[in-house]
Amino acid sequence: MSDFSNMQILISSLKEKDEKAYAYLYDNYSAALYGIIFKVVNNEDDANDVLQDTFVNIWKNIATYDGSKGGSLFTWMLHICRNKAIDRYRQKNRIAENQKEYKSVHISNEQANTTNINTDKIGVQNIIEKIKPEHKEIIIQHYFKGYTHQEISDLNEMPLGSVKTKIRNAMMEIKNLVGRK
Amino acid sequence: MNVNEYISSGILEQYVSGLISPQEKQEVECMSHIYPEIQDELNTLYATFEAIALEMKRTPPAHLKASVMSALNDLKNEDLSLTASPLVSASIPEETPVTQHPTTGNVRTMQTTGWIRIAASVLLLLTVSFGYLLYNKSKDADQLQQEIALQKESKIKAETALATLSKQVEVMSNERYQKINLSGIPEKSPASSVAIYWNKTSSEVFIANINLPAPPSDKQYQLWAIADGKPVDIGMIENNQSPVAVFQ
Repeated sequence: MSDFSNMQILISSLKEKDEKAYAYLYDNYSAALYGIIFKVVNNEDDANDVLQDTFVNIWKNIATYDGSKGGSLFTWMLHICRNKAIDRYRQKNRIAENQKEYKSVHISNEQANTTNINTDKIGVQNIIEKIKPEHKEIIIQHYFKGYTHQEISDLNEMPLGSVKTKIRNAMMEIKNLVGRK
Repeated sequence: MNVNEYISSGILEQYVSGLISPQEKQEVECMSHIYPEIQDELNTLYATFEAIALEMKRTPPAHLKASVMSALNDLKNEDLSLTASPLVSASIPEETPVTQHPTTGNVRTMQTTGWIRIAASVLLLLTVSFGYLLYNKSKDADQLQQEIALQKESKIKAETALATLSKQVEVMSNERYQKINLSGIPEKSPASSVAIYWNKTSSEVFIANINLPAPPSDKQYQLWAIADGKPVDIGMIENNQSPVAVFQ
C-alpha cells in the first residue's frame, strides 16, 4: 500500500490513475471541496453532482497539474470545484435577478464531523471566525463565488475602490492570523 | 518598478483565486520569478486561500463516495477499452464449415496446356520487370522530392539569417539606436548576457548577442520590459534568433 500522505507519491499515483489514490483523495479532501461547492450552489443535489463532476475532472486533467507553479494540489482542486460550482450556479440563476438572495446568504461556519484534512501546507483552523464579518462575506464572494470586483460592488452597493481595499484588508487580516513562516 | 505597489495592486489575490486572464497570469508568473518578495506574498496568499477553504468544510453524504468512485471506475474502463481496442476488427466464426468442391467432371481445367504456361510466365516476367522499373522511377522521384524540400529549407534558413544580419548591421550602424548590455542575474545565471539596441524615437527594440542557456524544447524566452512600473510583454525570442519587436 503506497503512502499517499507523501504528496509526491500521491500526485504520481493520481497521474497513473490509481483508484486507491483517488479514494484517498476523496477521504481527505472531499469535505473541503464539498464545503466550497455547497457554499456556492446552496443545495444538496447540485452539490453532490458538482462534487462528482469535480472528481471526474481531476481524473481527466491530472496530467496538466504542474506542482512547480500555480500552487499546491489542494489549490488546484479548489479552483476546479469552485469553477464547476459557479458554472452550475450561473446556469440556474442570473446575478441581477438574485441580488437580494445573495445579500442574505448566511455564511455559516459548519465544522460538523468532517474527516481529517491532510493538506500539504497548513494546519490553520478557525481563521475565518476571527476575522471581521464584513471581510468574511467579501472574501467568500470573491474567492469562492467568483464574483468580480464590479459584481461585488453592485451586490453590496459599495464603491469599486472600497471593494478592492476591503479585499486587500481582509487578506492582510487573514495573513496576519496565518502568520508568516 | 515598485514591488510593494505591485503587491498591493490586488493582482496577486486574483492570481491565487484563479480568476485572471492568461496574459495577467503569465505576467504574475514572470514577476514572481524576478522578485522573491512577490513569490513570498503568493505563498502566503495560497496558504490563506486554503485556510479559508478548510474553514468551510462540510462532509458530503455518505453514499456519494461510492457513486464518485464508480464514475471514476467507468472512466478507467473507457480508457482501457480505448487503448486496448484494435484499429480494425472482423468477426470470424470459430469453425468455418469447409466447402467440399466436387472433383469429378472438372478434369479438363486441371490439364493446362504448355503454351498457356509459357505465355503466363512471359506475362508474369513482363509485369514484374515493368513493376520494378516503375518502382525504381518512383523511388528516384521521391528522393528528388526530398532533396528539393531540403534545399528549400536551407534556402529559407539562409535567407532568414541574411535578413537578420542585414538588420543587425543596419541597427548597429544607426546612431539612433542606443546599445544596452544586459547581464545575467548574479545568483541565477551570472554567465548569461544579452545586448539590446533601443531606438527611443521609433520605440523599436532589437536584440543581439544572445548568450542564454538553451531553453527546454517546449519553451521559449520572452522579453519583458517594465514601463511606467508595469511589466509589458514585448515578444518571444524564437530559436534564439534576434527578433525585432516594437515596444509600445
